Amino acid sequence: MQCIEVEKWIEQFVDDELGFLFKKEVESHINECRSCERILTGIQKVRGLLKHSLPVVSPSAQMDARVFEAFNRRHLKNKANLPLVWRNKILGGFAVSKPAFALAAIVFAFGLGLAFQVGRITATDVNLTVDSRELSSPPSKIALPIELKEEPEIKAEESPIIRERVVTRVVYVDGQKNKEIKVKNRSPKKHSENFSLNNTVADDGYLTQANLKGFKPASEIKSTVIKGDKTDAK
Amino acid sequence: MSHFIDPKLIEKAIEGDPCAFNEVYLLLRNPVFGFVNRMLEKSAAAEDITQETFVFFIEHPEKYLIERGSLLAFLCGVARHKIMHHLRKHQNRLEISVDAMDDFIEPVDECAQDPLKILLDNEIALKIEECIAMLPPLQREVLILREIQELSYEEIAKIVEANTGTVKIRLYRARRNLACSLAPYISYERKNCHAVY
Repeated sequence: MQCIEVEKWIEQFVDDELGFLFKKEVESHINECRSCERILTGIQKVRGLLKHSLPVVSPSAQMDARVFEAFNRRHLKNKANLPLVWRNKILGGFAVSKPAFALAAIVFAFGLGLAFQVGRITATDVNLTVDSRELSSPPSKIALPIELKEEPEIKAEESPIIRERVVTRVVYVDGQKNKEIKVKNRSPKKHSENFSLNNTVADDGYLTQANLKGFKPASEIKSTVIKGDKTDAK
Repeated sequence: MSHFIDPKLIEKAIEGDPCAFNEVYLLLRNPVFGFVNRMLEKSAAAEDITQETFVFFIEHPEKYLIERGSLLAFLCGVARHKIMHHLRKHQNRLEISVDAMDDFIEPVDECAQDPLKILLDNEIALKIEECIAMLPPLQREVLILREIQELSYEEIAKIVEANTGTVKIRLYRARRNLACSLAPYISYERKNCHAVY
């Protein structure tokens, strides 16, 4: 075999793509020919350098972020179109079938209703004298004139409506003493009027009821749960 | 260097599993970027094209068919289209014919230095990068895909849209040209250096 022929096939020889007999022929020539041996060594060195000497190049973290952003954009958009089971699988980490989900919703609604029934609160009607003309002023401590009465004999199905009002100033009238004073509303608003109060003290421009006998602060009031029928509540 | 990826992992990534996509991306990010970067020699454009390649896969996963080859080969094929477009746009050396056999790269005369010492130097890597960059794009791409990415001839043929015979010819020429350029470093006899394009 001539050197020129070996040189023609030497790449395939390195790639191990020659037939067994032809490969042996080339190999025996290379073993005897120093020139061809150098060529072979050169090729192997070039391949070795390409594989092992080149550094691994990496893109920047910004590019990674942009690729992941594109991935999220694509797949978040598709989540809305997925079937229910798959949507639950992705969002919840486990699959929930339609009947199981419906059953769970019914049980939850029933439990919620039961809890509401148990937690019903009743209270006696409260007569409040509310000065709603001072809504913009800061609130002060409020005491509610409620006398709690337990009425176990009353049976009502409907729970009474809880009335709530936000007030900034509540003034109570103690009927036991008839110490009456005339008060002039100092509000700069148009609805100024004069009215009468009992047992009041003046503080910082406000009038507050003092010596409230038989009254309890709101924080001490406990709710009473009653059961009964509709007609009794009326 | 093996870039085998479990097909189930690829399927999960295509379905939108972020963990699976992350794993696939981390395995293929550097090889794809390495290919694009060496083809373009410009880091900024290389990043853009690598990003566009992955975004194409994200947006058109149906284009990839597992039975037609590895995902790396598919991504390199997508990247190659974008690289060729970029090179045409910037009038690179793409128009050089693969049949221009008479062109000759003059080997760098650095034989005066001790080649063995240079080999041991880390700068050899830079020299190889330079020599790869000097190759015509059609030779360069097959060399990178074969020698660095270690793809099969069949996969390379699909990527470059040519038959395996053409791939082997281009690879042969690329190796010879590279060997000539690196002759001082590998004790390659100068009389054998006939660069071919």
